[in-house]
Amino acid sequence: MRRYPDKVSTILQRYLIEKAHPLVISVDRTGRVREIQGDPAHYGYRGNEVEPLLRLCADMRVGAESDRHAFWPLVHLAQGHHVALHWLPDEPCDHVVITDSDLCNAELAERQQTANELALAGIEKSRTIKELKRVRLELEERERALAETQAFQRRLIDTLAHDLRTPLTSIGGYAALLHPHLKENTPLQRALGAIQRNAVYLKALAENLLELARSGHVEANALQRREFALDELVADVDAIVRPMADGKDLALEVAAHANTSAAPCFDPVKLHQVLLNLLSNAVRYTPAGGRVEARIEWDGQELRMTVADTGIGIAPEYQQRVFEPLNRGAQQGKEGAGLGLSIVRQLVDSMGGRIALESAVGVGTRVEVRLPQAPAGPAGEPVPAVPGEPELKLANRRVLIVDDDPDICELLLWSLRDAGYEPEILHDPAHALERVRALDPGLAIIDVDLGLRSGLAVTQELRLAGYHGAVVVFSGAADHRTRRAAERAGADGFLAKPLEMGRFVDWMKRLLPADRQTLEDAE
Amino acid sequence: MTERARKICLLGDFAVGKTSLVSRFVNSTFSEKYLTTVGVKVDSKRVELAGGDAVKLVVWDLAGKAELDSLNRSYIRGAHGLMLVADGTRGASLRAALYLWMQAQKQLAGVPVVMLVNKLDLIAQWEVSTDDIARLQQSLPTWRTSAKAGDGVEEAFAELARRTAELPR
Repeated sequence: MRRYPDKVSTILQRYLIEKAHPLVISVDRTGRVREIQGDPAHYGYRGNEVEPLLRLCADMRVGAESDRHAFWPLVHLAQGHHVALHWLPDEPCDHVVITDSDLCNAELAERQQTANELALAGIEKSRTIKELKRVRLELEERERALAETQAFQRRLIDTLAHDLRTPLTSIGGYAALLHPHLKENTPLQRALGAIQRNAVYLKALAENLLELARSGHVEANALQRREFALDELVADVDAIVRPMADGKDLALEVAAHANTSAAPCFDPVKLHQVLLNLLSNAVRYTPAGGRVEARIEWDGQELRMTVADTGIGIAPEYQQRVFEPLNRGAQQGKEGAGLGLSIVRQLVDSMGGRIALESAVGVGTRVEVRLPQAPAGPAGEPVPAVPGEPELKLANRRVLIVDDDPDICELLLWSLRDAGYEPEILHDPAHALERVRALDPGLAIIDVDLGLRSGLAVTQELRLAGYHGAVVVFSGAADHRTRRAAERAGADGFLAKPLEMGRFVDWMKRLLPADRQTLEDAE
Repeated sequence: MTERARKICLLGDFAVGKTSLVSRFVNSTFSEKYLTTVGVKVDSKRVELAGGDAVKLVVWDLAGKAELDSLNRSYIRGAHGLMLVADGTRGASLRAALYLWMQAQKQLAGVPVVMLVNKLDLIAQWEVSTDDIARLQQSLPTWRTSAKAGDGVEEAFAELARRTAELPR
């Protein structure tokens, strides 16, 4: 390499010395420092105390060949400087040469720091995105599980509804059949009356619980309004509550008063439930020797029910809570599911009514329910007594009953015979079409829930085969979906279990074909 | 009592905790602040060996890279042992450490090697699985370490010191 001109070389040396701050330490064979050229202070060493630097250099030579020039271009000193470090073996002294690398490497260090931090941020970002995806998948999974649980719950409720309604139909129906055969006012007839009343109560309770379980509230459109006698309501509820009141030596009075001849038109089952819940509560929370009174007043526009007791009362802070579900503890020291008053409130709300409570601890409680008479249906038509009881024209009095429950079949058989029909039972739906063709019934009554084969499929099969007689289906799943499905399948009517046998028989009697009635008239 | 000096180099991807491990080992300190190492930092510490011997470990803390560049190649020259460092929370850093080892072997065949899977204090965020560790242990002396808490650090350096001290040179 050609040498720089002397003047240039001088300038370059000065420039490099200024920028590179070379420090040269010459050490003899015994390790003693013989000469220092440059400024140790620039690298953080005080005066000529360069021992740490020499130790570092000795450490760095571990593993290196001792008699050769060693060079480490970028060494981070403890004091923070980046340096280039040379070890130059020489005679009579070896030299340690240090130059400042910060000038060249400050920017590199900064870039490296930024790049690494960005890379770490990128890793964190992708980790966060991954975590978000995991959370989203987990949420979707939970949503799916919830939907499955809800679907299972609905199926469970449907099954439960069916399973409750079918035996209740049997209990109520057989009790109704037995009733006329027992002598008036005998212990047996009273016992049967209690069975009937409790079956009705159980049905109402089951319906309400199912309604609550389905939707969390009682739907107004689930109401079945019809005209009814106040005296019947009073008698039914009184009969249920009185044994409880007598057992506690309470004075119980349940009375009704109407100042109009118009019959009230409400859902009597729900009304029964409201009054029964209020009275049960009053009796439960009134100490022995107390008094419970229920008054029902009807003026043609509004039905007012008042239940008052001389019970333990409810503290002011609990008075709103008693209408919340599962409010156990609102009335201290007493047991109860805490459902009664919440169901009462929902029922009253569903009927467009109001409920008010007054109570004083140690004095008693008074609950007042006011229910407005619902307006008549479209075009002033009265609300039908039982939706799903259409006026059918039957071609003859033969009836084919398709149901796999022998108790229900037997009950329908008796009832229809009593009503003047010629019923026939078919347990196996697979033979329905065959029997219809052979029998040509005026009416086929088909249970929807027939095990593996749906009664709706049977109905559809009959229609597709050209059967023009009337078809009425009945089901424990008395919801709108099943009702619509029945219509689509070709059914003329839909009945909900449990069948109220008295009304069912009345309806069937109305449908009895004219030729039969004419025949009876002639007889 | 005799004392030998042994040069060991820490190799691993950036931000796996090499500098923190050295700081824990040499000074018993730890800092949460992340500072990239540029070039090399050299520290040393005397390690007592079983039987009364001691070895001076000269620890070369190399700038973190996923590959062995020419600068780091020059720094590992003459090393008696390698300490591979990975970050348990980053699976990729374990693969980088193994790749660095593979590259270094061309230059340092047969030197003792230990593997440190660091950031044990963040084990809840680890991507490196227990199975991964078990597999590693079949081919390399492997420690799960925490420079922050100190777990496994002394043991890993002591093991490498012992192994390097057995070398003839």
